[in-house]
Amino acid sequence: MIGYIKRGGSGGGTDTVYQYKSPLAGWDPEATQFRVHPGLKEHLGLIEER
Amino acid sequence: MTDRPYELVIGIETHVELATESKMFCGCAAKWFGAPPNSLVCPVCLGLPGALPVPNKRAIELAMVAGLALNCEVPAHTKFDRKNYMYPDLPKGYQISQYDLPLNVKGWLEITTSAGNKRVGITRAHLEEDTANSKHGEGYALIDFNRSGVPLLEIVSEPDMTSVEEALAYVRALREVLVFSGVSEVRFEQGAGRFDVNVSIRFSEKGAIRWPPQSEIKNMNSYAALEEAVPYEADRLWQEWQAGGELRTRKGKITVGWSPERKQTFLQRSKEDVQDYRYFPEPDLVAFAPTRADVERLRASIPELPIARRARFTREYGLSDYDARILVDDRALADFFEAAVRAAGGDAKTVANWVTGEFLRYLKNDGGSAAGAKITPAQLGALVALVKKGEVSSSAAKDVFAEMWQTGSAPDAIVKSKGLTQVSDESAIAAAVDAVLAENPRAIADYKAGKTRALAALVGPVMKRMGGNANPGLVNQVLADRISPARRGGERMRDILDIDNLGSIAAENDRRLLKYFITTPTYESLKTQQKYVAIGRKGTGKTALYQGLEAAKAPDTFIAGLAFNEYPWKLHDHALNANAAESERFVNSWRFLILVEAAKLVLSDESFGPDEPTKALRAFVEANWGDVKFSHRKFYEPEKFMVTRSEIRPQAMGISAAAVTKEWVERSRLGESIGSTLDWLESVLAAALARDKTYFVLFDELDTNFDPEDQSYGLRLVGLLLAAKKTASWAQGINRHLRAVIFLREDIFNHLQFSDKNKIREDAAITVKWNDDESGPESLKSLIDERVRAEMDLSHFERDPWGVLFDAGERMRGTQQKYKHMTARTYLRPRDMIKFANLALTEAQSRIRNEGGKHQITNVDIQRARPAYSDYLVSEFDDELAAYKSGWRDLLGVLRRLGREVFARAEFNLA
Repeated sequence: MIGYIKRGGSGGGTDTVYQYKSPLAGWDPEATQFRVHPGLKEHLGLIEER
Repeated sequence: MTDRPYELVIGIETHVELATESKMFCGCAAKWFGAPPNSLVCPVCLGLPGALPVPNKRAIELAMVAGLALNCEVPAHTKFDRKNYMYPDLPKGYQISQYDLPLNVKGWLEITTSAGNKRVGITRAHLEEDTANSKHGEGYALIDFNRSGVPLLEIVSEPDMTSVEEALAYVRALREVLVFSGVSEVRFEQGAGRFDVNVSIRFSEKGAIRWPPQSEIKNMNSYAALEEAVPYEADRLWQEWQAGGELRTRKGKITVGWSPERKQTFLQRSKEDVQDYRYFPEPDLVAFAPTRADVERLRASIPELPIARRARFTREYGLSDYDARILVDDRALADFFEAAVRAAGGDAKTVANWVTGEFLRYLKNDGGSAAGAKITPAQLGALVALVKKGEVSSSAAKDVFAEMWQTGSAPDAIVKSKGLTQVSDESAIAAAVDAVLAENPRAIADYKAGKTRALAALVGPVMKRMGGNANPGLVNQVLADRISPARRGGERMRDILDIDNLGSIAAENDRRLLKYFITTPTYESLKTQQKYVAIGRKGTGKTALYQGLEAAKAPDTFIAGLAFNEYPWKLHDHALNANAAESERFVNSWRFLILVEAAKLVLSDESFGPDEPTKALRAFVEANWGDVKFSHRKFYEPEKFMVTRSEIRPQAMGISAAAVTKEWVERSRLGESIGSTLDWLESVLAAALARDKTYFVLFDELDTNFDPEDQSYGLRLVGLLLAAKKTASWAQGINRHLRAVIFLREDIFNHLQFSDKNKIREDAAITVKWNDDESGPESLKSLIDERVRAEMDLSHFERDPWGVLFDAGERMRGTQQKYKHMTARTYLRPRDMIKFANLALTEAQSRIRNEGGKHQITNVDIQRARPAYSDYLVSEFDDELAAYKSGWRDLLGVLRRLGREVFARAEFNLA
């Protein structure tokens, strides 16, 4: 439902690590930025990142 | 989300001014906001000696309407009382209020949070007069009496709320009810509505429940203040208690204020007790008794309330929760929408798209209210009807709307005056199409070679020839017909409008599943008996695999498909072996079932003549269950079972049935006495199973009614897994191809604890998984491709199925492909992808029918499908997570409050 944002992703930017996609990645307790799964945006009325 | 060490208990007193013309006890105007100071006053509201109050009938009626809308009882007798206290904004020295006989008592209000619906009790709602307004400056204070005596309704809730989310939902729902029923405009921002929140905390300390005195946060007038002040004050109470502060000894509650600048509460006063107010009946007013007729008349005047209206919008108009929420948020907007639907002659979804799209966009830009817009519901309805009839294109309709918004003119008049009438004359369009095709022979060749985009490139030139007014849907259709005449006979590819959907999201309900079943590596490893436990998240297609495998029946492949929904587990439990170790208790009961099902498969093989082993098996099955085709659901139905005690040994050509001793045992003793019967069954089956044939006993739908707390549920599954493992090693040992194959949800498998779990995971289990690659057997694209190919009859066409159904040339925002845009919104599960594609398909069909345009799924269709898809995804979570994590709905509430897709840890902790 929530992924943590990891620096140094593809293209040098950031990647979001979701448990459903990377079950072995684990949770990063040091992560400071998080992203809600895009499929929930409309239900929760979230503002989209541009 | 903070894990608080205490429970929150919240009750709210809300004051709202009633929507009357005049004040509560005099004839002065009640609309005081913005009027020059002290311009709306008279001796009564100034509290001059000798002035007598006269009650405002309308105010009493509105107060009763509010009570009825809040499901309150109206007492037979009611009266006004004096509440005595001294303050400069109260010149009489008392406020006329209601004490022991209020107008409304014992009601409730339904609120909706991420946890679902809940009723909050309403203790009472009584009528009183508002005070004057004080303004404090440096060394002076000013008093404006315009507000003095304005009718005020005080609504007191029960302390039923246990989170900030619930408190916010309560205030929002209350506001909605009061505004919708016309009782009050609830203008918090003008000070014409405010709420006092009673906050207390409850926790356990050294085995005792502690409930320290509460704080009342006074005079809040915004949701943001409530959202910040309540957790602040609750934490402050907790800290004070922990620090051994005076809260540990204080008896009464305190009153605090909230400073939005400093983000903290500050002490106002220790709260008076009710006796300090010296309440007594107001001697200048008589008590009164509302008649039954009055109550019923007022009850009948209450319009449909928001929660009911939202439910009706989704039910009656087929709108998503999201659209219904937006529309019902504003009564005028909801009224506008309904009137427009009537004017359009139905087609609610299209009207909703216009209202939540263009209409709200213009309203937001220009300000104002739905009721005050120049455009009328009848006009919007007429515009939707024009698009539907094909008289104006959807893109031209947006220009027409813009003109209607500015001028309030009728849409047909604008269409005529601007020459926007759409041409739907097929022969005129065909002539233009022919001319364009003659100029572009290359495009025809490209299209026939499978480049569907070549068609789209010709739409523009045709539209240009037609002066931009051709019906785009018809242009596309005529173009396709002219280029590919085969469509009109013989091998015809189906149009997007001809297909119902791309299959059901539940394999058990999908009769066409086998038409588009795709063979994945997971399927192969089960089919070849390399693996026999299929583990996958919910919605990943385990039941589809089960059905695919079940359909693999062949002369040399025997399959028993057993679904365990509606299976009588209680009967099965009779067969457990109470003497075995805990994890072994159910193993024999399952081995018994597996071996008997294998026996039934052997007996169904008609190529076999009856020999000794099959005769023995038939006799055994018929003795216990009557016939050899009984359902597995009846397996443990018999109250007595015939079991065997044997010294039996297999012989070269069969077994010696005469050596078997039989006896009948009660079902309750089966568990402990079945061991030798299992040995006997294995020995007979060893002779009866053919070496060159394959046998499967499939177990599906084991997750129905899964409860992580139910220990026997877990033990049954552990028993089944161990029984399947024993079956596999026994069959391998005698070189026979028999497997019990188990389809199990990943979270359930993970939840089980038993010693051989890792061994089963490594040796026997395979995880059903999908990816978002562009190709490959486990890609969601291949899955959708297969469905599009089957549904659109593409088998005779060398086309990329995805590109036929989806407008692949058009990129989503940020140049993202539609496929990636969609998969990013799924949990990489076929169920999500199919649901999303089906919703987008429905939107595309509705758009094509009403607005015209491409006969493919476009960006617009996907955007429109997103709210309903998002609601679906949350309901999927609900199914999966509610069993384990009761707090997950609270998490949704926190995310909703955060309001943004990306957030920082600090913001999250605060929320």
